Amino acid sequence: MGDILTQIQDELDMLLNQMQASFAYIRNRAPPTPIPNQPTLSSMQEFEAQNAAALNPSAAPPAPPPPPPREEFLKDIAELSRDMVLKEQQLEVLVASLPGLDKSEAEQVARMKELERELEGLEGERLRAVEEKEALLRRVEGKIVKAGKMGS
Amino acid sequence: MAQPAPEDEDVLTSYFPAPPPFYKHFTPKNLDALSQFKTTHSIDEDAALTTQQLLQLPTELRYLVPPAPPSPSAAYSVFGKKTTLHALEDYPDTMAAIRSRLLTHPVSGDPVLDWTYEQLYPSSPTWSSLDRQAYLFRFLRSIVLSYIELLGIMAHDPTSEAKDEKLKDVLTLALNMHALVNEYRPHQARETLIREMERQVERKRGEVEGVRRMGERVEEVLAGFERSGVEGREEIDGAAGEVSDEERRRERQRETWGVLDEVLGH
Repeated sequence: MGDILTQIQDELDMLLNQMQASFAYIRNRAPPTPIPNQPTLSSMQEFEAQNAAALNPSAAPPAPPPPPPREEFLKDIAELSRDMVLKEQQLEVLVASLPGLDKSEAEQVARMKELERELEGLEGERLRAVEEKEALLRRVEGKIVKAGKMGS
Repeated sequence: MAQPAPEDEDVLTSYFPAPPPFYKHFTPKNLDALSQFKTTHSIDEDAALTTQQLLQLPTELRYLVPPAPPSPSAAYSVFGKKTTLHALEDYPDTMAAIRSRLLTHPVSGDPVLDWTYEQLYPSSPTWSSLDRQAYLFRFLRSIVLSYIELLGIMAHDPTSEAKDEKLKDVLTLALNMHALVNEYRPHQARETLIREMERQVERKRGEVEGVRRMGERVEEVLAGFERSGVEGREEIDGAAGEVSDEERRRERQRETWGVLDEVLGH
């Protein structure tokens, strides 16, 4: 079990970032919708670049890349939306797998006490087992030495 | 536990400075000696010692007597600046001033982003009386919904007031989620501890079980060894006249090797 809580927080921040990025993308890259019988307007980014160039002709920023064709823009938007939905689903999975939802604090403390007792008991048992192991080892060693003497 | 570093390296490499050397004088024996000294000179347990009394004490006991606290107007230096204990009284005011400066814009004087927010879930004194998971789900879905609404508002009228409200809603929801998650942390910490303890129990059980199995196996091998050894000896004894010494020696060596193989688990 990793640290689900930190993950939730990170993913949440990322979701907000994605929302912001999508907004920025739409704002900067959306191709203008042509209105029939009207001259086509420039996109927001082009408009801003033109304004900046008009105000300060010497340090004009480089012209922005031309807005993507409509199909490409729609494809990008679909991708951004898919990522966002994916992120949201990821968060739902994380929230769904929060640890210890069914336990109250008192239950947790009781379980910890129980485990502590169990661990202490097991530690004694383990020490006995280690002693037993050493005794066994000595016995086997003794036998081997005896067998060796018998054979020689 | 880390091994204490050698004396000469200690000074250069230890992460924390070494404690003052006189901490070694704080032994139960010395403490008893000090209270003994106080009773024989009929000094109150809490009363301060005069200089004369202090000088009567053996050197190692002098460290046990705490020095008098400095007077409030005594000056000491912090980061090269002289200050007094009096200065601490201004501490809350200083912090409040810093806080207000952080929360207002340095130029315009407007309040910058205020991190106080509306709490959208009931605060509960006990852990289990609040279903945090349900609230997290609710807030998360609300954020997504607000975003879609925000998109609609922006498409319709990018300058409308409603968009600021929606943005504020998203911020409030996100902050609430963060707060809920942070409230969850102690619970997760306890849960992690429980898992770790369960793993330890499991490991120790396995260890004990392993030793028991090995013991049984060794018992078996030894029992088998003894049986075959006894039988072998009887056979040899019965045919003593016929088997030469050389053959008997070989027989025993073979037996020994067989036992060794068995014990070593081949």
